[in-house]
Amino acid sequence: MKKIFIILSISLVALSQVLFTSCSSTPSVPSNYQTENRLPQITPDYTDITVPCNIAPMNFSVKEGTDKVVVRFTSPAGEFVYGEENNVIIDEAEWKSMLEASKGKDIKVEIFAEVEGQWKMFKAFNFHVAEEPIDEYISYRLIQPSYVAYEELILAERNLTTFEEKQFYNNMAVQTEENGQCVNCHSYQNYKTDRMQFHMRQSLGGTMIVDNGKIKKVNLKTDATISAGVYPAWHPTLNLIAYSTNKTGQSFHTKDKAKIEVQDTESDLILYDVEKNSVITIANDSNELEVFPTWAPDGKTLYFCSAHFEYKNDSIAKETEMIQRYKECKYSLYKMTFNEKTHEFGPREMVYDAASEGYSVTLPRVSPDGRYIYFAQGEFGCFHVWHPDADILAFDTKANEVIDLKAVNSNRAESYPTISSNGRWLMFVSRRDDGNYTRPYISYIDKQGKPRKAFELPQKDPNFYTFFLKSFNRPEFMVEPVKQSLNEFASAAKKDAEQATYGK
Amino acid sequence: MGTYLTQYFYEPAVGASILIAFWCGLFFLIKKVFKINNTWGFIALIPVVLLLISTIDTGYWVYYLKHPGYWFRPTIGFIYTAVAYFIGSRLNKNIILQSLATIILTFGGYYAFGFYALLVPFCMVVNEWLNEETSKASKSILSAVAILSLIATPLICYNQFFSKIRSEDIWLGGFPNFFSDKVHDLTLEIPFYIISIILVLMPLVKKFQNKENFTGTKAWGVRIIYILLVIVAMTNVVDRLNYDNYNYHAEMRMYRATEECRWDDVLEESANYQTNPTREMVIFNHIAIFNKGKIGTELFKYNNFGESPYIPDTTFVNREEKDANGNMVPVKDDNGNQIVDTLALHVHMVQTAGPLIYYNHAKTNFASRWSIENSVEYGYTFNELKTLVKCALVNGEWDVARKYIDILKKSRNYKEWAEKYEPILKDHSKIKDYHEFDNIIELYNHMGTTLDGDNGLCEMYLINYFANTMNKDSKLLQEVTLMYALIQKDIQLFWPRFFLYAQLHKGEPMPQHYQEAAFLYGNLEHQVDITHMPFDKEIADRYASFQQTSQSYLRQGFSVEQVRDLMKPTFGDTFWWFYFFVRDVKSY
Repeated sequence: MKKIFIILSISLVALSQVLFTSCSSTPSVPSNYQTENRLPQITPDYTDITVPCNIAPMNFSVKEGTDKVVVRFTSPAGEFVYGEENNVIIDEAEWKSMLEASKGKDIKVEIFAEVEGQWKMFKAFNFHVAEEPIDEYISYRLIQPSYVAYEELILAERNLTTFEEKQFYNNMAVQTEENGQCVNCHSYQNYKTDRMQFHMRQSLGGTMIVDNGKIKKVNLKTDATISAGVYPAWHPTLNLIAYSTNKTGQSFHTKDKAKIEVQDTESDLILYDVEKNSVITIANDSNELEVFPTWAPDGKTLYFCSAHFEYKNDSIAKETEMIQRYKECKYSLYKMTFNEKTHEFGPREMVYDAASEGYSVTLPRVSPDGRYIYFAQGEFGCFHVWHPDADILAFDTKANEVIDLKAVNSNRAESYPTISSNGRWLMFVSRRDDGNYTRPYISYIDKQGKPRKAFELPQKDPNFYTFFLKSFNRPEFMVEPVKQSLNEFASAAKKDAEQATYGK
Repeated sequence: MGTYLTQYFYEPAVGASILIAFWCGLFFLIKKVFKINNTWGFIALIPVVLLLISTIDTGYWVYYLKHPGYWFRPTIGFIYTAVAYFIGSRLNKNIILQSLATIILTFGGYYAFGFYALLVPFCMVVNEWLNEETSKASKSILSAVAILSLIATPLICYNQFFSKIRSEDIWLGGFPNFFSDKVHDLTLEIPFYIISIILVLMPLVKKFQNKENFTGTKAWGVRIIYILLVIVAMTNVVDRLNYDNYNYHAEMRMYRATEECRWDDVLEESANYQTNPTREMVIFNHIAIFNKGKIGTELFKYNNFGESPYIPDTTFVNREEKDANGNMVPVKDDNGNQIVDTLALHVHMVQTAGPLIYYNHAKTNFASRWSIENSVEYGYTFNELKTLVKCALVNGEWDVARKYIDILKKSRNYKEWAEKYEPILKDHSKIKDYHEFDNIIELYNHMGTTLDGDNGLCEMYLINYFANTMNKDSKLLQEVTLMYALIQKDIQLFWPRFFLYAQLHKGEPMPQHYQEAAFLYGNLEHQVDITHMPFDKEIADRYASFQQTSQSYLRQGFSVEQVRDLMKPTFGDTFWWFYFFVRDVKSY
């Protein structure tokens, strides 16, 4: 027995030595190398970006055709060297110490790669560390880039300071097969999760409302409205949600790279009073397609998009005419004043007449200081996530002008902009990686409202996005995690929806 | 693990050998673990026979089964059941250890393997209750622990670890089920239920075989029960083997040949149809013909009748209809009995070969769309990924092509296939060196874009799209539009495409089928004066013969179907025969 104990002890010590040695070994920076006067090829492209001081490690992969790579990070916290393979996985504790020491400063990154027996050093680049943190959480829908079919749809939250991701809704836990359920449009009140909502369509459909921790499922479709609530916007302080109601159709491009066109043939705005469980109409002009409501931070103004579209041919279905004239459908940005006491809205006012300039704006979001309205803009239509020409722009309400945010855009679709609670971080989704899968990107917005180069949401595995076959959809910032569990939502989803009433 | 092993079926002999090795292992494991002697050894063979049944012929379910690694997973699952039972039953001298093992083996096993682990506590309880040396107290404790494990394990996993299983399904997590739309094919699930019951009751065998007095009538009773079980199982085998559908296998051969541009092989399959082909086979045939440049001479040479795939009815559903309030209510016959409908698995071409068919018509957006729709619904397959690569290359979507190529390069069997296309990513102009793309790109470059939809009917969409398209810049596209105008049997669409063909092919002989169509349409409807057209004498003579023969048969009182069959040997390769007799073709 004693013998066995001794042998085991020796083995454990030896094993720990081996493990310790392998974990703590630091690759050495080559002393002889050629200098390459260009930036290295890395994915994601994290060269010369501004990062939050609380972001998870910006792991990346060096794509210089070799596995022999050494990377040196130089920060006020010291030097850290990684490498011996082309995937650069930064130690979380070391990364945190680098960020902490580098607030308002740079972390210098030097990459060495051995190509055909010769070490090369590429042009160094920096991670500029912003002093302003980013909201700790984001949430998004994970969906395959399909068109009609869907199987698993997930609402997940991600802790931005780590790599932790947690699902809080999965439609497979509720219904499957011919009774499948679509899930969309999660939304929070003022970045907090005590009040949040998302919508479920088809089987066991309804709108899931969390109000101060209690989950209820409601049916917002009434005889007086064209659908249940679709695109939501919680009032920043009151227990009210503005929604669009839409009749939506889709058709497919036979050759165009956009592949799919989603159009609303009817579209109105409603206001849902969570406590009274009642809806009222905000706007329902039959020649206007009103959609994408969003509140100003003070709660006294509701911004929204609207397209003037008059159907001209009574002999064909509206859907058919819309397909024939889809490029004529252009949305501009409007606003209405809102009386928080009477819940009455003022007349609509034009904010940005995009249609007259040949554009169509969608999904507006207002910065916390109320000055900038970020939106996705394309040539036509309301579904820019499939429009390669779609970019993120901002409207400066102070200067009364549109700002082209070139630093954040690409030649592929950008959509779903949202701004962090401190107004410094703009998040959106982009198809820039491959044209087919949307990925979350984040850009620093400086105090003058100017954006810096956007970076892709970091993942533990730098090659994650290559092999991940789902799109990120509708990313939202949150300052706290969702408090309800997946199963709590699943149980609530299986219950009958409470029918909302129409009128005050 | 099941998914990993499935890839070895790329070489069918390798995959089958691995599976057989697993089954042999399961047989010996059951025999050893449940201590079955040689006399009763055949019982350990029953689960293996049932597993064989479950794999030999799933038919079209291969396209619809949502159970990755299906071919190996149940085998691995039942191996776990046997191994876990072995470990647990060896600890029967210490009830605390045994109880702990029951909890761990059930919980850990359920997390990893699902349903199969829930059989473990059942087996252990049955075993201990049959064990005369085990005290009643121990039996009671173990039973309580087993029940607790059975109830708590799925609930804990559901609440803490699993995110995509419904609460009502947690007791059968990981169990293969055959659901699609409203169809639930229980016959394919029965083997797994029987194996589960056999494993749970296996300790009984040990008990009975060890009993000295277990002889005579009792022994024969048990033997008869097992023999009946084997008969039921084997009957199921025979029943399954009866699904030896020629078209099912031919479709797969034609799919592979089409994918690899082996057009002669596709046409050879077409020449050897044993029955009427499926519509999918007919389309593969058309694709091969237009790629061989033989539309005008061979389009109607092959059997153009096409049917839906043969699939037996397996599901019985009470017929329901909506009442005045919109509620579903049962439909009864005049005698007040519930009307029961039988359903078969619904097979849609877009889900079996739609992406490849669209791709070969250069409808790359639709091909990509259905590749992704099918992958979303039933999981990514190498077929879908390969089609996605090719569509992306034709579309010039290099980055997404790179993505799918990178994914395929990670696979065991498709690395080489993927690497073949990598040079195009580095130098896009190199796509010209890949002649498999020539016709696709020719069609693609000459088709415009429009907003459209196929409503899930691939063939109908292609017929309508191409028959209504006119193009004078590409001889290939022009001829494909003429082909579909002929298939559509639309005289108005035919004439402009016919004249355009003549214009584009000045000085060339007019192919047989185009002459046949012009001659027929000119005589049927005198919209176009064909008197000055230089028809081949053979065409005119043959048409006259066709008319005389058909009228003669009809005068003799033969039905249209009989005339069709009588005339097929002589005129089955003509447009006329297709026009008059290939009717009521139903796409799917």
